[in-house]
Amino acid sequence: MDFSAHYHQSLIFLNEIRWELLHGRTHNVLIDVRQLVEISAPAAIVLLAELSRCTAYTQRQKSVRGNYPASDRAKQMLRDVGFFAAFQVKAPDITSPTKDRVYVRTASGNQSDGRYTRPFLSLFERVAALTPLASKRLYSALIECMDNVKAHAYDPSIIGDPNLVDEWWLGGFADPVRRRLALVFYDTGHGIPRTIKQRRMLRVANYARISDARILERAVNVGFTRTRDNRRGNGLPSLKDFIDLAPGGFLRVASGSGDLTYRRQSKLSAKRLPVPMTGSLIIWTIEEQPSLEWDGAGDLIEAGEQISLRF
Amino acid sequence: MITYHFAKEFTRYPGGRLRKDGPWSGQQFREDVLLKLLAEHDVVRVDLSGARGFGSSFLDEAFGEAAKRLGVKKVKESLELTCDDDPMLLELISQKIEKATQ
Repeated sequence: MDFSAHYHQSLIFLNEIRWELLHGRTHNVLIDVRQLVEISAPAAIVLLAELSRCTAYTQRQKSVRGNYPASDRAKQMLRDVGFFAAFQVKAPDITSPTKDRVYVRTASGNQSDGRYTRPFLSLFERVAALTPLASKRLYSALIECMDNVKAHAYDPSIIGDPNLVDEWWLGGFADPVRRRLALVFYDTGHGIPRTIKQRRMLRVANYARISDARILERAVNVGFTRTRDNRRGNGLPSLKDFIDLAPGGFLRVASGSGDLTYRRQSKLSAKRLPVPMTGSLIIWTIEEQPSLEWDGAGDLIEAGEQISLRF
Repeated sequence: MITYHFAKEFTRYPGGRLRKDGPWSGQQFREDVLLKLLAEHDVVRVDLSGARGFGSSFLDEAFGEAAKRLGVKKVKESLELTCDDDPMLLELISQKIEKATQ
């Protein structure tokens, strides 16, 4: 399960779980992941987030259970991102755990609070000697993400909207062997393009025709005020400021039907996703010695150490 | 003139734009610290060194909004910013102050 080579299947799976838990008639739901061979860190964090919000809404009406993947790799990934801990389930035993990555357990919150970044920045500074300036840019990007969620991602006025309003999830890891860092930020809200469209359509009627990919591109490139105040809505470009400072830096923003990628000192690339991403998923990766294998990299799944990331 | 050490006296972990959004917000800094200091002193020096980083929204709400309320000229004359560990920060704040009346 990942958002690169298996994007389509992964989104279908997530959509089916969401629909069944929120709207389905079945009382007893089993999340069967026994055949899950591998799951990327972003996919594990999104799965955690989606199950968190769905179970929060259905805990009185549904009995939700799950099982463990048979694969050690999948078990370990879920354990390392804090999946089992989030649901207060005992983590499974792992026969031969790999120790090449150091994870920070996924954090979630509903405020713009910089203290959540502390374990991530500490890890990156300790393991990867992240420079103070790069650390500051990363902090700025993360606090901006939290603030964007608070300001725009959710609409609490929608009655019955099955969202944990203002909630976001943040996970990440350092890989000292390959000298890579990765951070994943996710919210289950309405998505960046949809929010911008809603605000802008009030003034420009044909705004609906602009693709999600183009909206994301502009939002991350130059900022995109979503209010009538030109001073606001300029935070998204800070997502790539950190990447510009980092060797081998790579940014991906997937939201709605838009899929934006950015590599250090190069142009943004915007594509259309075959199945819309619910909410907004932001992934930063940096590595000390960027290699060609990362071309097109957007997810962190590895198959035989080759990064397979084309949609 | 008074010197205010942001990281020591306010926080190392500045938050987002508004007080309602979480702790140590730009609004909180402006209302509880910056405007009070500017009202009491002719010149206020704010040393921003040592903070973990600043979100664009924090800077806009703290400094941009202060300039909107007090006037760009007054803020430029009365506020002296220093930062030893982020060469771009002061330029960014300067832009926020310039944009205040737009």
